[in-house]
Amino acid sequence: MKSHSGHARRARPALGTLVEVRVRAAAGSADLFERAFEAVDRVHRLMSRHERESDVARINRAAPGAKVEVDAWTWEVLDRAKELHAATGGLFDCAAATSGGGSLSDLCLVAGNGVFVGRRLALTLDGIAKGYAVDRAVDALRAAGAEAGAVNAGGDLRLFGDELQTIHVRHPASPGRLICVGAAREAAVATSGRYFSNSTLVDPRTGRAAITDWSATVVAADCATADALTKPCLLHPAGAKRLATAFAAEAILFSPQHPRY
Amino acid sequence: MQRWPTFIAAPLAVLAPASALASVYLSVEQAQQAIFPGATFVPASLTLTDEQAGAVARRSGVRVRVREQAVWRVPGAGWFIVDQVVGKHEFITYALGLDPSGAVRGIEIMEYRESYGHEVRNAAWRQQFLGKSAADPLRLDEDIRNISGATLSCRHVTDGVKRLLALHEIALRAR
Repeated sequence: MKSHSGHARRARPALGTLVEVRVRAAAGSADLFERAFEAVDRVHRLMSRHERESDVARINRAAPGAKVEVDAWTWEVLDRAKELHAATGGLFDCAAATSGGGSLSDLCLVAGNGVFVGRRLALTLDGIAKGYAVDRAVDALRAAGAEAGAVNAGGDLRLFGDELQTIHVRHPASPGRLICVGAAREAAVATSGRYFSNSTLVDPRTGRAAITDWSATVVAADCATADALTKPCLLHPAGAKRLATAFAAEAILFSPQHPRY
Repeated sequence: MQRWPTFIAAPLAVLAPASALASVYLSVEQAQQAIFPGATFVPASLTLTDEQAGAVARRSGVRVRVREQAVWRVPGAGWFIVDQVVGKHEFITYALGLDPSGAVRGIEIMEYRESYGHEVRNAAWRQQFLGKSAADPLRLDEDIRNISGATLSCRHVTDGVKRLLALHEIALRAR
């Protein structure tokens, strides 16, 4: 539909959440939406742990020493994940699991979209792939001629175009309340927190589920980076600012005691 | 060189009102055109019998809350169904398009609403949204459109689709 501000919006279930695509209203926007959702669906098919034939499921089934060939998109996400793993001293680790104690350092990337696994892994790209899907959807929208808009996948979002837009973050202890954190343009924003008590964030230092009532929001140029950086920021709030700066990003942390009024 | 995004921080004391958040995406007509562009739609709404409702629940593993289902036949193309799902904190109206064999052709969220009170469970509260169209929106502050922070899962929509696929098998296929 066309809203007051001249934007057309659509939402579909994808990536285990609701994905909203908004574009500044233009002729032929139905096709824009299709392309954006196609990109999101492709990321889901490739990177969902629960899809039996996804790249991630195949990596998790691979025997130690085996080589798995993956899609170029999956390889790119793994490459990014390994970069973040190194830059955060292992705090970002989407192969850390509560059972088994694997790590991203057990995974080796080779040219030609190849992946070697050094041991059985319980890899999950949930903490970065949602942001990556948002980035690919924005690419698709731009390639199809959209000038401005936004993609929001369950709270990980990216804005593109010339508009300065306000950003709200959910209160960590009261998700129905929103905190206005500022305004952004050409930026991605992602937030991690417990919110609906389904946190699966594993602290790689302990191999246990992280227990925190805080939320971490990261503003970065791309959503995969923003999405991924929220996890180390949440696990090590004291290092959040330095870490974010290294990635040309901003980190904002909220305690559950943040005033609600 | 890394590109810095434009970000202007606001004083963090500013909080939006704690009202229910809502988004209206598509009216029935818009959802029809989104899933079956240019098609014609013949109203074919139905009310499940006790027996059918039980069969749908058994087949899908999903509880059947309401017997009335808004359905349109799309001659030569399949079926268009409008459904509502209610979670602990959310109320979602969505449209499902099925091809003649009963395979999913498209899903579009028509309206999303969330609340953290008891109102979602309250039938009277829900009733106020039924029959609302995009031309008659319960619009919230237009400024609140970029919300970061985990939203709810789409599990209830997924369950709703399972229930509608079973409903197609039991009540629509033979029609």
